[in-house]
Amino acid sequence: MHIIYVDDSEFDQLAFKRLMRKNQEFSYSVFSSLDDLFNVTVKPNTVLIRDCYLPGKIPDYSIFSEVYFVSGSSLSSGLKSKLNIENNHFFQKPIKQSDLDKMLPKEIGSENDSSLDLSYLDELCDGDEEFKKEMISVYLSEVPNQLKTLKEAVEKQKSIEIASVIHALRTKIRTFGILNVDDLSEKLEYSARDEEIKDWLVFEEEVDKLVSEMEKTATKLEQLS
Amino acid sequence: MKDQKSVLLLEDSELEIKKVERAFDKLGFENNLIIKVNGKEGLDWLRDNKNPLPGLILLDLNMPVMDGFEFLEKIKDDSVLKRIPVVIMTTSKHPSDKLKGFERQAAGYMVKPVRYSDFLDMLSTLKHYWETSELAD
Repeated sequence: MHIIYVDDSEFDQLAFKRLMRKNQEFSYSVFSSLDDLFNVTVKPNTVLIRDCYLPGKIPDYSIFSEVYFVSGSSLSSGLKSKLNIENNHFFQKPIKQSDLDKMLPKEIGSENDSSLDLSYLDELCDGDEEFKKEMISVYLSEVPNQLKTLKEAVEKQKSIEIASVIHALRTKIRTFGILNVDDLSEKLEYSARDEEIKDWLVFEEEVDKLVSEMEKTATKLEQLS
Repeated sequence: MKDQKSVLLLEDSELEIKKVERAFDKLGFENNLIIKVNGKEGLDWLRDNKNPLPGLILLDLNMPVMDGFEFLEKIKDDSVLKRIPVVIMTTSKHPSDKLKGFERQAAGYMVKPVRYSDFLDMLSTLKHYWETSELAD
C-alpha cells in the first residue's frame, strides 16, 4: 500500500513523516499542492490523505483506494457536505497513530517486514517520479550482484573485499532508508576493513541478516517501480 | 568566468553520481560536472594539460584502482593541483577517516547521503571562494 499525503504546512508534513517512521511497511510521498498530483502516476492501492484547505485543482478521487481529509480544526457539517467527506473519513490534525490505524489497516502476518524509510529518497526526488524510478532501477540492477559478491567474499573470508562491497551497499542502505541494518552494515564494514573478524560464523550470520533485508527491500522497490 | 569553473566528481557509485547531477540541476548550478570513477582516472585527467583545472573536486573515499586517500596524497604533493579544494563525500562516519582526510588537507568532509541544504551551503561557500581567491583568476 502506498500513501500520498498532501498538505501545504511544512510543519504538518514533518509530523506526518515522523509518524510514518513508525509505519515503515507503507511507502509514502508528500506533496504541498493538489496540482502536484497531476504529475504523479498513481499506482493501485494508493491512499490519499489531504488537508481540507489546499491550493490546486481537485484530483480524480476515483483513482485512489481511499481518500481521507485532515484539518487542524473540526469541520462544520456544511463544509463536510460541501467537500463530500464521509464521517469516518475525516481526522483532526495532528494525526495520531490510532487515526492512521483506522485509515490503513495493517496486513496481519505480512511477510514483508523490512524497515524502509523512503523519506530521504522522497526529499531527493521532490515529486519527480521518473527520477525516483531511475534511482530504484539502480538499486534493482546493482544490488543482486553486490550481494552475490559479498556472499562469495564471506565464504572465502576475504576481509578487504567484504569491506569494499559493504561500503558500496551502505550508500544504498542510507538512500533507501533501510534503517534496521544501517548500524549493522557499518559495524560489519569496519570489522572487515580492520581485519578484526574474530568469529566468522557470527559474522556470516550478521551478513545473512544484511543480505536478507536488502533482498526484502528489492522486493518492495520492485512494487514501487 | 570565475563562476563557471568545472567541478570534478570522483565517484564510482551510479546512485551517488545521479544525486550530484540532480543537485546541480536543482540548484541551477551551471558549472560543468566532470565525472571520473576512480582516483587514477581523476589524476590522469588533472595531469592532462588540455584540461582546465577544476574549481572543486568532490571525492569519494572508497573507489577501485586508486582510492580517495591515495588520490588526495598525490594531488597534495603536486604544486599546482594542491591548490584545488577537495571535499570528501563518503558514507564513513569513522573519526579516523575524517582525521585522515583533514591531515591530507581536505577542504571539507561530508557524510553521505548529503542533504541538498548542506550541498547548497557548500557550493555557495565555494562560489564565494572562487570569486575572491587567486585560483579563480
